[in-house]
Amino acid sequence: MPVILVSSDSQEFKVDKEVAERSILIKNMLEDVGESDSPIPLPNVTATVLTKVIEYCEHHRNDPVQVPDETDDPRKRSNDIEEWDMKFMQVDQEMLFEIILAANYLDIKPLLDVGCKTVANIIKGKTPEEIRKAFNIVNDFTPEEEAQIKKENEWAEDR
Amino acid sequence: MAYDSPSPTDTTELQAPSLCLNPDAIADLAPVQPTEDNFLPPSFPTLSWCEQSSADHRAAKAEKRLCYRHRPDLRSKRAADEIQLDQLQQDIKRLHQQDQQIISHIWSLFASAPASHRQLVLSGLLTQCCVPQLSFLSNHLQPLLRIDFLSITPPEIAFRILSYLDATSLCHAAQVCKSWKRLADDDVVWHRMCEQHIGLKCTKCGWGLPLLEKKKVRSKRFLEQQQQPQSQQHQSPQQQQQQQQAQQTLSLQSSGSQSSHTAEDSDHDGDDNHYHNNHDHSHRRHSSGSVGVTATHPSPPTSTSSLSPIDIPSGSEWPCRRRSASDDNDIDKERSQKRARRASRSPSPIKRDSKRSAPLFQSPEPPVKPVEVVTKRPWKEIYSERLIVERNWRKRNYRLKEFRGHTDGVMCLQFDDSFLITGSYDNTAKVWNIETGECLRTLTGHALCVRALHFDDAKLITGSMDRTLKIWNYHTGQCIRTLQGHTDGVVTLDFDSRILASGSVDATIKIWNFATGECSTLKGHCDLVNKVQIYKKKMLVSASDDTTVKLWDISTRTCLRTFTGHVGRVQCLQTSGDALISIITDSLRKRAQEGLLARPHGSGSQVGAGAASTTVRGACTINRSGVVENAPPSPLQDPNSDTETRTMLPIIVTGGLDNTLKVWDVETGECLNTLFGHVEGVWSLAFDKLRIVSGSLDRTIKVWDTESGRCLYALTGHEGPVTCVGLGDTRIVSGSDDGLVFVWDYGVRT
Repeated sequence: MPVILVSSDSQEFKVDKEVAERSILIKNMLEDVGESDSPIPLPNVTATVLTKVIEYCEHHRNDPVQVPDETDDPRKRSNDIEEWDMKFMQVDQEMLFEIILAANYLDIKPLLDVGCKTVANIIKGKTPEEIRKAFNIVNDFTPEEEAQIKKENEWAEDR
Repeated sequence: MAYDSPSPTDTTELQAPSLCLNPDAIADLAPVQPTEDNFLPPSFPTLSWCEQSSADHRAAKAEKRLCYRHRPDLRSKRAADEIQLDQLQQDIKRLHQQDQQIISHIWSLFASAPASHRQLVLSGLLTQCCVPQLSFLSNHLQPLLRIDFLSITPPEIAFRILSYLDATSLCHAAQVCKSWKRLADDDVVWHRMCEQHIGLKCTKCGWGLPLLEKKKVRSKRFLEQQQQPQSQQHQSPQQQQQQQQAQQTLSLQSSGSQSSHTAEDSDHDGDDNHYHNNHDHSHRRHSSGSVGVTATHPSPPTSTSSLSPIDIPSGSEWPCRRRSASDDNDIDKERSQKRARRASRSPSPIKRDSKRSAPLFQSPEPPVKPVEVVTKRPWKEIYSERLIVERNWRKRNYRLKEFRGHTDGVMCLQFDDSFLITGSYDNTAKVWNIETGECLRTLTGHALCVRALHFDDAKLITGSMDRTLKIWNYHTGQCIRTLQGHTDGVVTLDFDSRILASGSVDATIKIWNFATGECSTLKGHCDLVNKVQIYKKKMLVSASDDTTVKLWDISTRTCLRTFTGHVGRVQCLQTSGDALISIITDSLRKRAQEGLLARPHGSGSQVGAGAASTTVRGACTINRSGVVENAPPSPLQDPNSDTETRTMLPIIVTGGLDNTLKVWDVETGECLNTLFGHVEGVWSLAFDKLRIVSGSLDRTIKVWDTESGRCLYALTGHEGPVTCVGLGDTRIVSGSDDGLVFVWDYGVRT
């Protein structure tokens, strides 16, 4: 039975229950409500973002459900992103940001992880100045502070 | 800020840089002046949106008309390399005044439009754009669409992002700006880093990990406030208890009385404490192995107590913090104070506390206030310290200290955080302060060479070519007891809290029971027994001149397994004890791939990244996905994809006069790796999860990668054969036939 999701800008999306339940938030809602045709409002997600999120859930509809603990275990984390996800995440930073927020709100752990990994991968291997450039950040350190902090972090440089 | 005010403003205001940075200020760029000369064409639409009819409501509407992402506070932080308003202003001034008015009017209308309208307007504009204009847009959008993710996402997401970074990237992130520094230096992040790397090694050794898991469930802050005072309360009585027990054991032995009941009691604790003590190694070895990256040592009471079942909840709750929370000096102080107390038989914890700064060893009395300000070291600092030590090891960056005193060849040694004890052909054993190199005591009594020794917190036992074993209180220098029984020189010994094992030139191994005084004999070797080590309490491993290594069941006195492969006398050995060691070998890889049992002469068993799967021995559970670890090369990043065949095994490493070292699988007796490199016989070795060190007749010490068996480098300096080596977190100690002892110190330089 399909589920109807309503975005913040009042667009309706009809998706399979199986797909919608990739979101733990929706899954729990459905479990609480029981069988019902009434649409589920998602006031924090716009139609554009919801489209994207549903695309992800469609693709991953058959993934095994992850044990919550597993994804939180730092020892099991890796930065590998599978190819489809990588392509899926080739969006502008604003969309990436929105997807991360939506995944957090809808409680879709794997999507949140992929989002966070994508951001992490942008940061990785960059110098502080390159990071500032990548995220449009103003350096608010004084030159003295900057020198001091650079010194503090020198230990990580030498390989 | 005028971002919410579409009303006309003075153009001079535009000179203010903050305004220029605010794109919304563009509304004010060239204010519309609908009065006086109206250049606008007659058909021009009305000037305001219907929602904004009255100026009074403007403020209220301002909220609404902004897209929720138009947060002025964030906007104002945008970098100056965006579209320059100055430039725009220059450009527009070149136009005819009427055009100026129209353009600014369009801008101003757009600026005052509510979010939904803006989108409509933009969509309409897009449909009118030609391809080059769209291209112009797309070029300009890319740089504009950059978002300071860390600053605008909720902290939990920011930390999640950071949790995917390696140490170098985190340190770069900390240099970006103030808000990034706050996040990237946060204890949450670095605690995870420590956990990730140190914990990983724990997966491999099985030490401390379950407790770390448990701890994670609770929040860190909660722990800091709740757990520490508790653990202090728990731990201190425990320490005292241990000390008392050590005392008991000591006095028990000195008097020779055999009250089995008391002995039994002390055994429970002592068992775990001491049975890990490999020869050439203090009990610290285990904790050192578990650290992975290695660093400061755990203080003795902590490391031992955390291994004992009773103490686990408090003792291991914060293994890494504990390990590093006090520096070496503190440990020394603590230890010597502890010893002093033991000697005086009057524990005075308060006195001890007054000297200490580290929080984890605080007073046994319940704290009056719940956690006063306790100086804690940031996790980042802890991580960096470990990293530096690890790097020192990798880059062969050590300080060499020379201990002179013995007048003849040094034959055996062992050390812990404070003491180094050596035995020599000059018939003495010497107790040294390992930090200063000062010889604290010379133990005389043996009539011939001291060939073997082993010590714990309370006692030292030495074995000599004079056929006897002696038990000493090395804090006083007093010989407590002499054991006789071997018919020829004693060349090796090992003990835990219950039993003492000794191997002799007479080809037998004797097992002495501390509690009952009974002595039994293991017979099976047909030549001199060079080395014995108690294995998993009930077993014993021995190496002999008959070129074999044997695994014995102590209680039945039977040989369980014989390891054959060496073609010369087997001079030295060490077991992994309870720990499982990560091993990569060709033979295992082949076995995994083909299901064949390959003959393990894997000299070239290097780290070639094959796509083989991991073999998992039934008994040793290793979490495959967890081992995405960058073992010896560097803990900074994860350079090795884990496509290699790693197996976690209990192992024995042996060295022989055939110039090789061999790594054996204890459970199958298979030789996993043979380490070639020495050009003369291997006399001594020591290993932990990260490295094997071996001393040879060729006067060199070689450092090997435990996992792969690859030789990392050789240390030269001894002028005689290297007869004994010891390995710790931050140092190698080696003794030579020339009578000198070297400490190769890889610790952090202060």
